[in-house]
Order: sequence, then C-alpha cells, then structure tokens
Amino acid sequence: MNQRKGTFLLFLLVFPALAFAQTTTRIDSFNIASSSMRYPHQEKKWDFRIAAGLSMVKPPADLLENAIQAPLVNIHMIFGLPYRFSLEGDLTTILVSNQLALGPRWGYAWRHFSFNAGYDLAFVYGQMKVGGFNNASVVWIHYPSLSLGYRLKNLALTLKGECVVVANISQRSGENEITRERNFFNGITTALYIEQRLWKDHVFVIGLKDNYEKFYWPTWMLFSTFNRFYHIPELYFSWIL
Amino acid sequence: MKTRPLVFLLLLALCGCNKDRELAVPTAGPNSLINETYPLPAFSRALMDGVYTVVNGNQLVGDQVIVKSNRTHLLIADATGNYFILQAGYLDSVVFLQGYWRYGYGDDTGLASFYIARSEGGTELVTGVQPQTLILRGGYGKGSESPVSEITLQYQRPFSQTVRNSNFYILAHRSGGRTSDRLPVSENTIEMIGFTEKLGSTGIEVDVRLSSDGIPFIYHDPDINIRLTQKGPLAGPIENYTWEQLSAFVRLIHGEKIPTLEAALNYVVDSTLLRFVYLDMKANRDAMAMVIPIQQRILQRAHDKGRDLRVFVGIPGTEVLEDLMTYPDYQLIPSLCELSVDDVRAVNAQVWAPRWTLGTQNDLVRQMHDENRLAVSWTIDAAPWIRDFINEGSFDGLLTNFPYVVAYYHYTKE
Repeated sequence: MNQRKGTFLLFLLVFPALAFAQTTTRIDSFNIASSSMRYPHQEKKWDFRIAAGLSMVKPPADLLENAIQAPLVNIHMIFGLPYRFSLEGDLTTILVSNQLALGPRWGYAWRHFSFNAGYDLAFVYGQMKVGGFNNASVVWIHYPSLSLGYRLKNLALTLKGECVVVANISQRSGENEITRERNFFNGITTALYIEQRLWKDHVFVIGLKDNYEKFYWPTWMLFSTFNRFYHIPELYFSWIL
Repeated sequence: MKTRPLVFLLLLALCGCNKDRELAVPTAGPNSLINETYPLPAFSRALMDGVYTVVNGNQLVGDQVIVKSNRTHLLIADATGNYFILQAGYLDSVVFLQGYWRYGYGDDTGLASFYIARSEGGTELVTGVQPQTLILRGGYGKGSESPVSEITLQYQRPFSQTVRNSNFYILAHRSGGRTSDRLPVSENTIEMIGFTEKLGSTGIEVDVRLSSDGIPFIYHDPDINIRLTQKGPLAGPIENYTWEQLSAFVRLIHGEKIPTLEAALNYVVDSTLLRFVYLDMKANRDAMAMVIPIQQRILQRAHDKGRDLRVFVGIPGTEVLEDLMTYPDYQLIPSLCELSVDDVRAVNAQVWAPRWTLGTQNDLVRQMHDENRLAVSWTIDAAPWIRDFINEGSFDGLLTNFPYVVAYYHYTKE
C-alpha cells in the first residue's frame, strides 16, 4: 500500500498535470483508439491530427565524446485515407540536424488489438559550422515498419518495429564531399509507446525506443567511421494537440 | 491506477546502464605453441616484410595484404581495416606465428596462427637469409574459437624502392589509439605508446593538458568522465585538479594512470622506435612555458641516445599561436601548425598540418616542401580516403585512428 502511495506521489511530482485527472461523472464516449497517435488504429477518413513532443536520446559515448546533448523536437501527424489507409508524417529536429519522414500505413483492428504495416521515406538534412568549415549532410532513409497495439478504455499500448535502410548518405565539408555511401542495412528500431488519457480527450504519449543502428542521423556531424551497431536509447514524450 | 505504466516507463528510462565497451583480446593461453619456440630475431622478422598474395582466406582479408615487422611483432594488414598482430618464434627451422586478428572499424576478432615450413622459407628466415620462396600457412577463428579457417599468404614482392626511400610518417591518434576503438589499452597512456607500433605506427599525437599546479599531462577530454576513466571520487573539469590528485585518484578505462607529458615522452625515447611526436595542445590556459622546456629536454635526450625523433608542439588555433609567439625565440621552437600556410611561415613551423577535409592541396604541400617544411594531414580514418591521399597526395605523413590501413596503402605503393 505504501509502495502505491509512493508511486502516486512520484507521479504527481513528475506530471503536475495529473492533478487534473479525468472524471467520469457524465456519459463518457472517449475512445483511446481514435484519440491516439502511435496506436495503429484506422484513422477516420480525411481526419487530421497532430502531436508535438520531445525525445531525449543517449548516444553512445564512442560517438559523442564531449559534445553537448540536446533534446530532439518532434512533430507527428496523421491524415486519414480511405480503405484503412492513412498517411503519417514526422518531423524531428535539433536545428543542426533535421529529419522529415512521410509514408503510408495500412491498418486492421480486431477487438482490443490493432495492427498496421507502413513505410516511410525520410529525408535528413544537416548543416553545421565546425572549426571554420561549413559541413553539411544529406541522407535518404527507408523505414518499413510494423506496429501492434492493444487498447483499454483510457490507455493504449503499441509495440513498433522498424527496419532502417540507408539509401544514400552524402556529407560535405566545405567544397569537398567526404562521405558517400549507398544502400546499406543500418539496423532496426523497436519502440514501446503508451498513450494515456489524462483528462477529457487529452492524451499524453510516452515512448521508449531502442535504435540499434550503425549510423544515427542526429550525430552525422561526428563523421563516425565506426562500423558497428550501437543501442541508442530514446525516451519520447508528446502531447496530442 | 491506470497511470502506473507511465510511471514504470519513466523509472525504467532513468535507470539505464552503460554497456560494457571493452573487447577482449583473444589469446591461445599459456600452453600455446609459441611459448615453446625460440623468439625470431628482429632481423629475421624484417626479412618477411613485403606485399603478399592471399592464396586462400580471401573471405577475411581480400586478395592482398602487407606483412610489416615492428619492434616486437609482425603486422599483417589489408585494405579494409583487418589486421593481425603476431608473435614470431622458431623451432627446428620452422617459423611459427601466433596472435590474433581484428577488424579495426568494428568488433570482429579471433585467434590466428601461421607456420612457415622449412622448404617454404623457414630455413632461410632462421638463418637470416632472404628467402626465395615465402609462404605463410595457417588459420583464423572467430572469438576464442580455434583458428581453423584456412588462410595462406604467398610473398609477392618487397616494398617498392619509392616506399623504402620515403620518410613517410604513420601517425596514430591519442598516443597510438583511441579507447573507443576498443583496443586492449587506454588512449593517452604509456601502455598505448608501447602498443601502437604493433598497429604499424611510426609516430604519435598526444593530447596535452595542464594540471592546476602546472604539470603537463596527457588526456583528451576536458572533463573526467566514464568514457575514458573508471568511476572514482573526482569529477568535473580535469584541469581543476592538482597533479597529485589526478595521479592518486584517476584510473583510465583499463586501469592505467594518467601519465605526465614528460614520463610519456621519456618512454617514447627510451622504449620505442617512434620517430615523430605531435603535442596537441589542449590545455585551457597558456601552457607553452611549461611544455617547451620538456620538449627541449626530450629532444636533447633523444639526441644523446642517437634517436631519430622529432617532437613538435602543436598549434591548433590562434590562441595557442599567440601563446607561442610570446615565447623568446619562438621561431626556433619545433612546431606543427594546423592553421594557414601564412601562419606556418609567421611562426616558422617545421610542419604544416591541415585538416584532411580540405583535400590533398598538392600545390600548397609543394610550397611547404620547397621551404623545407613537412606537411601532414589529420585525422583521416576512412579507408577510401586514406587510399586517395596516399596515391594522389604528397603529404609526408597522415594522422589516423587506423594506422594499419595507412600502413597497407603506404607499403603497397608502387
């Protein structure tokens, strides 16, 4: 019982917003499936929704050395299409490195479960001046993905797996192109998202993602030559607007 | 109650742990055959230097490798970052080589062993005569598995006259190798200085910092962190501590102590055949007044011992340049300047060291040569670029984290 109280107090400290937790004094038509972003539901035709969030990432020490760490800002969008299709867009940025991904999903729901298969094509652009040199990076990445979701009334759990295939990397320092690589398997990502209704129709998303990759696009400016896979954990928060 | 998963996830995220970043060096153990042999003398090892055709075993190393002897071992290296570090011994005119291989850009590694039969060069090597035929037969394994995958190397040719007459420097970063490359010793240590020749290095770069009581020591990062050090009582900016504190409390990833600059350079003179040291001045405050007297003492010590060793203070930026220019007779101080060629001339640096991303810059390198200066480029790691810089550039040396790749392309040059 004390443990429960402790957990509850901790939660209040971390998320003061929960002090306004939902009440159900009137008939509640809330459906987490149609109010979530990561849950692989079938988005209603022509509906558009957007979420804004942050990702905290811990790049491997081999890569990062003594660079400054900053959170990634993320905007995620869904647009409903006919025949169980939807279109998802995702913009992630730390200013010097930006990724825009866009791709279709096809979903299927069965009782409390839901599933979708998707594909995103991502464009990464980065620019940064280091030691007097203008460095820039252009990367194209394929992300085929599968998601499996399970929902309760106010809560949805989603497990998502992605394959990461780099189509092209081109990095320049001043006038010189110093990296060009094409078509290689870059790893996989697995993520668990929890979408929780907080009050009324407002939903908060927390995700834990493991990027198991060789080339991690936000760190392009390190020009790493390591040819090994790293587990790069990512903690994601977002708010559905 | 339904908020529990959120709390659980948050706690999980905050309780992450660091993955072990060490890579064990495979070893055949105390009962290995090499321990039963007589060590092959250095002059016999040098007879094996050359370019070899890979008769089989191409899956690991491609079609061609170099074999290069060093102070204690033999290095075999290929074009893509695979290398072998081998001890050599002999028994009854058969030469045995034993050690391990490693893919330098990743983590693949394993045991390796070779032998050279009497009729395939063993007898000549043991008697100190250049063999007419030289074939290395052996095997390699993955991890600690027995080295059962066959590999055979056949001597193709000696290093070219161009290579043998050149004074090219293979300069290894961070005293010989980075901790992040999972080498068996930590970067910027005496142990790494002792190890790096096995990777093919003929010179090193070291990172110079200054303790709060003015002792120059070698260490890369500005702070004490678990990337480079074991957990200990000190934290924060490393230059805030006295030398006594650093010496007593800081241990590097593999347990070594941080060395003073002078101890590291004395080791270079006394215990290695390295020919070039680049002091990369990373100190947060003016350090030339402390570093230059050490440089002078080391150069004198090398001279007294008949060592062909060059030690340069590095000038990575204008602040260090200005610091050097306050020193009396600064134009006589052996220095290496990373800035423009005009700055090189202003300070009379003996070495110009441009960043590799500026390209081969052959015209400027030629100007430096005409002025009797050296030119080295830093820090070039990708194998295709190393190949291009060696084949198309005219630098006197390359600074790299992968000296065995530079060694391959340099020694195979026609």
